[in-house]
Amino acid sequence: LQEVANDFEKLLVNDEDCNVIIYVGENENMKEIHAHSCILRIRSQYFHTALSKKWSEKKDGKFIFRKPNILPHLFDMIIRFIYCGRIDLEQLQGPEILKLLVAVDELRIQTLIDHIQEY
Amino acid sequence: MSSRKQPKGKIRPPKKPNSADAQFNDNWDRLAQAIREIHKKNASILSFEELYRNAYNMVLHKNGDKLYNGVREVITQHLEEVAVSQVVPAFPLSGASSSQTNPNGAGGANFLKVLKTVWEDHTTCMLMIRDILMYMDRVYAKTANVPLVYDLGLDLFRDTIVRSQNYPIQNHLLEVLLQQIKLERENEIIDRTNVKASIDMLLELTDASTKDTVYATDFENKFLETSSEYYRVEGQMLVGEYDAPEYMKKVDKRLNEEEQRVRHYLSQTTEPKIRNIVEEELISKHLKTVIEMENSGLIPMLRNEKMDDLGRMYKLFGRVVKGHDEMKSAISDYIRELGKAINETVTSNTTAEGGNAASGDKQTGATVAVRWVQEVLDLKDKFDKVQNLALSNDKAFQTSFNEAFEYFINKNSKSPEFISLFIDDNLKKGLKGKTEEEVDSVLDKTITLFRFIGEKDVFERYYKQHLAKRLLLGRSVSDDAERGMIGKLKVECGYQFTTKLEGMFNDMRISSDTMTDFKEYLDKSVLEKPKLDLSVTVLTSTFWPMNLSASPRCNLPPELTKACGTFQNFYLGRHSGRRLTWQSNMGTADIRGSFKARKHELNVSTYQMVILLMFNDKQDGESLSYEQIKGESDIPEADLKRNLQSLACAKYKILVKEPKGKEINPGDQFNFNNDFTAPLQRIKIQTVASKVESEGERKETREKVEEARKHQTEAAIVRIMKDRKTMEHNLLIAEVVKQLQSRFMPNPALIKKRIEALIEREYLERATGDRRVYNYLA
Repeated sequence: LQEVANDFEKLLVNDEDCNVIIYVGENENMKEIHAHSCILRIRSQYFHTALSKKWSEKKDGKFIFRKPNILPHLFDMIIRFIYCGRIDLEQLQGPEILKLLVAVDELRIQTLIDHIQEY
Repeated sequence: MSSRKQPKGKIRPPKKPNSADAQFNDNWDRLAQAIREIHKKNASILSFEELYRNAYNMVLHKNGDKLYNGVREVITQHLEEVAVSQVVPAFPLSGASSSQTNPNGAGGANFLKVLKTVWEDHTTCMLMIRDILMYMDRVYAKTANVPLVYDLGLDLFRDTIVRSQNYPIQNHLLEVLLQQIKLERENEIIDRTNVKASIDMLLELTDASTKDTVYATDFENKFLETSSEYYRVEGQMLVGEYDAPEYMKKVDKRLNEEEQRVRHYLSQTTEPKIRNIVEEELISKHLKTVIEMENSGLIPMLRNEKMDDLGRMYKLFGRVVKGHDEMKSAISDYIRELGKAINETVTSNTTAEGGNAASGDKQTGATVAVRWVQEVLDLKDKFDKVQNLALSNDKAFQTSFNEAFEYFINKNSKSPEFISLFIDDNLKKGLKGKTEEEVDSVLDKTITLFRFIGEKDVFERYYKQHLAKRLLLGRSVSDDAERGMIGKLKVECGYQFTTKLEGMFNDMRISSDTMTDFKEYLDKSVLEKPKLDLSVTVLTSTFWPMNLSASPRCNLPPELTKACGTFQNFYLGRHSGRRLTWQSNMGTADIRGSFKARKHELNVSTYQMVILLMFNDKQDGESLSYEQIKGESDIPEADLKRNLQSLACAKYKILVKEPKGKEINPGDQFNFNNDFTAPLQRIKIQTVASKVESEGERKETREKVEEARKHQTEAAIVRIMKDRKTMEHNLLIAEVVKQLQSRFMPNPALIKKRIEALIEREYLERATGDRRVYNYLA
């Protein structure tokens, strides 16, 4: 299982066959994150809906998605959790963690909410 | 954002304009507008993320309730508009005119189509609204304990469209649905998809108070009511117009149709209900009518062996409670009726025959018996076939058929005798054409009839008589066949029933051994050899149906008496303590007669031999009177008459009777017929062997059977009391009946008499305290 998690993390780094581009943050802080729609959709109801036919915005065969109200580095942690199911909360300060919790709550990733609250 | 349109929702102006409220208003305006766009099918211009975030913010800032209520209002408003602009214009013309102008229900179909579109639009929109309000659903709806937004949408649709207070949408919808179904029942083609869409819609909506589907609360009952009415009318119409097979085909078709209908566009929960209605209206209500239809009902079907129709009736009627019972009783009655008819032909034949019985042709008696059994067997075959092919071997039917057979077979008091005669006939006639297998299968069937006989002991008595004649006169097909038959009886009635029959066989075997020994004995002995070959069969008196005390007297010629004496000495020398009684009425003899034309070897009964030997001493032309013969031979009158008849009036006329005629009367004169001619060297003079008993004989048999029953009843009582020591009257009677019913049905009065008799003889006593209780006295 550990191995699977590692390999999935590699997917995120390589951005092989990516079909989702997420623009996170606002203005100068904006960051572009590449991901795979199938993984996002299977891991989160939020993304499942957002990337569904009804709502999705596509460009050059890729989903374009904007998430301005979440800080890029936090979103990065979230998406890593989505891919490999683990998160290192040690590197965050108290207020940062609260922000993360808020973001996760918005995205309703229940396992992660529980994890952070426990922490 | 929207510059094209002002928000229509009743959004209250902020009371205290502060940043939170401003934020709220801003968020809500965007959302309300978005929902309107969704309703206009303009969703592609919207951003999911943004709307989601708006809803998220509102819920996060504790404005969930406002959001929720706002959404409710926007949706309601939209649905009201839809009702006015789309649904109401599509109302089919109501009243009588609609059926005239739209005989195919086109207006109704169109209405359903509009409703279908409206419903589909609504659900699509609700899905999208649900998407953007996902956060509200998850966080607010749960804590506030309100329905999820999608369910809210369904409820709103129910209240604003389907059960609209303002427009008669509900009435129209139900009416149209029922009309469509009615059209389809009348073989019109309808668009099932539209109907199905509406039904599905009703199924998806939930009634607020009953928590049941709107389908169940609003539609189903109406549907069932209308169907009930429809089939009531149709049932009456069909019963009047069609014959039974046609009617059942129609019903079958209706049942299939309704099942199909439910499967295609109604709810599965309706299936049993509508089925019940059709069954009730088309089957239960017309059960009797259909069964009793004059030229096509159950009885004609049976008569013409319409297996398909019978099978259909069995299947259809099996669906309703009383169906099979009605069928069973109708068929049973029919069997009884047929059985009665068979019995009647037999009795009318026997009475007709009774008139000329004395004239000698008693063979018809046996034929009547054989025909009776054969007819019963044919009837049984017929109903076995029905049972097999049409009634899927239903056990309950089998039982009631059996009861019916039992009933009419036992109605004929001669049935035990007839069945025994039938077996007799087959075991004798086997020689004439039938193979052993055929005989065997006939006998197997006969056993099934035997099962129906209540008075098995009477049967046993007749069977013994017939078997005795077969054995002694050497007329049975084969020992194997006889043993086979006894084996079958043994299977049916157990060891007890057949011991005596088996004993009879043993006697036959031992006798043939004895005869071999006797011959050897004669060869070795110094005694004067008898002038004739004597062959003796020694029978155990208890096994054989002979009456020792009434052993028929007869004056045998001296040669024979002497030979008998020799045998008696021989036999008693070997087995001491036994008593031999000669049954001269059972024997046969071979004698040689010289006639003018040639010599013939005559095979005759002992009595006939005695009679013929008397003429040896007479001159040609000298005659003997009936009285003379009777006096000299001392043969019992009935036997004498019969034997004279077979000598003088049957096929071979060895004697000439004066005056001529078929009857033997006192005063008749007999002459030896010197002019007798026959093509064969060896002639067998037939004595009528097995026949239906005459009234007197029957009465005698009855009496014997009654006597035997007394003994058996007493034996049973003693057996039971010995075991129980003390017993209550009713229990004792029940137990006795139980033990004896395999042989005959004892009636309680008989048992009671036997108990009294046993008390008298001090086997039993009444208990001192309770007079209904008996004690056994060892």
